[in-house]
Amino acid sequence: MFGVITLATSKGGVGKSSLGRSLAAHWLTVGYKPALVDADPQRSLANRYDPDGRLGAVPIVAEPEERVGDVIEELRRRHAPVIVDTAGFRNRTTIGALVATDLAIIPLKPAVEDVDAAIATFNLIREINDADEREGRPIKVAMVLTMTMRGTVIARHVRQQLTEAGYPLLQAEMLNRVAYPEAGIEGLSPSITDPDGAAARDIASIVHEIMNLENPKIMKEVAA
Amino acid sequence: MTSKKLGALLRSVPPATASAEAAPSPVPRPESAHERSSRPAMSAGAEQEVPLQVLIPERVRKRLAVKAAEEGRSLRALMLTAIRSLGIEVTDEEIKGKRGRKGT
Repeated sequence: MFGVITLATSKGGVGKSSLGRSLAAHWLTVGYKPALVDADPQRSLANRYDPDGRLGAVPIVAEPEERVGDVIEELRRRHAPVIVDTAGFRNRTTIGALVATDLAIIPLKPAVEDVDAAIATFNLIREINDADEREGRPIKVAMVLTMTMRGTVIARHVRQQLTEAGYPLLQAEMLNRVAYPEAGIEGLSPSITDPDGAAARDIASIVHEIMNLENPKIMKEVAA
Repeated sequence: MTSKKLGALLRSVPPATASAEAAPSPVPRPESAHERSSRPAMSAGAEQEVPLQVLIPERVRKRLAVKAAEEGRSLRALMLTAIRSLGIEVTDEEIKGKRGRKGT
């Protein structure tokens, strides 16, 4: 099990916060003890946190400053996984979070701007992996398509291009479903509000694939 | 201890928040009614101070913050000094400020 998972890309509006909360909610429902770190100054997660709500058992720590690494290390002693949501631009806090992470998830919509941002983030992680701090333990990386419309040509095209270029892209996708913003109103996610629904199943598929990534034969490490 | 490589990476990107910058906030926080009422009275003869908010290019704002830090002066003192250079009367006392801030 990955101890720390950071959602990062240098573009906003790709669903990082929704995906982060949804992953945490799924892991909570299957018996794990996740925590969320909101490293985005917009505080999308922290602003919706309700300690008395159905996701109240998942603590959310808002830490948009560069000491985010210390916060992550503190949380990982008591929680697994620690899921970090970052801002949609290249900044020091995101780098600090990535240095402390085990797995980086790069969400992207099937659009050329998102692909560019995802590749730039992938390259940033490769640079971090070259630093002494990550020597011998490179950050693992996986991209995931978000807000996709099933069966669209652009989604297939983006998937094909990224896969052929050798980028690690999950098979599972976070499809564009109204269940996410609906649940998000109360700071919840589909795994809580509609655990048998299609969105919850999407998230379960992503989690299943993430957990399989720990198999080094499947996982493509950046350092390779 | 941050490695050279990571240090260079960190220096190549901005902080996530404005508060992470060493410089003070570009726009002064508006004074609350409570703060206004609890503010000490101005000394006799001193003129009342009023807020001034302007939009300036980010590059200029950053340069100003660096200059203030380098000189150990407040942004207010730098601005008043610049205004005096335009020929507008500003006394040394006014630049220094009522709270004895780093005006020189």
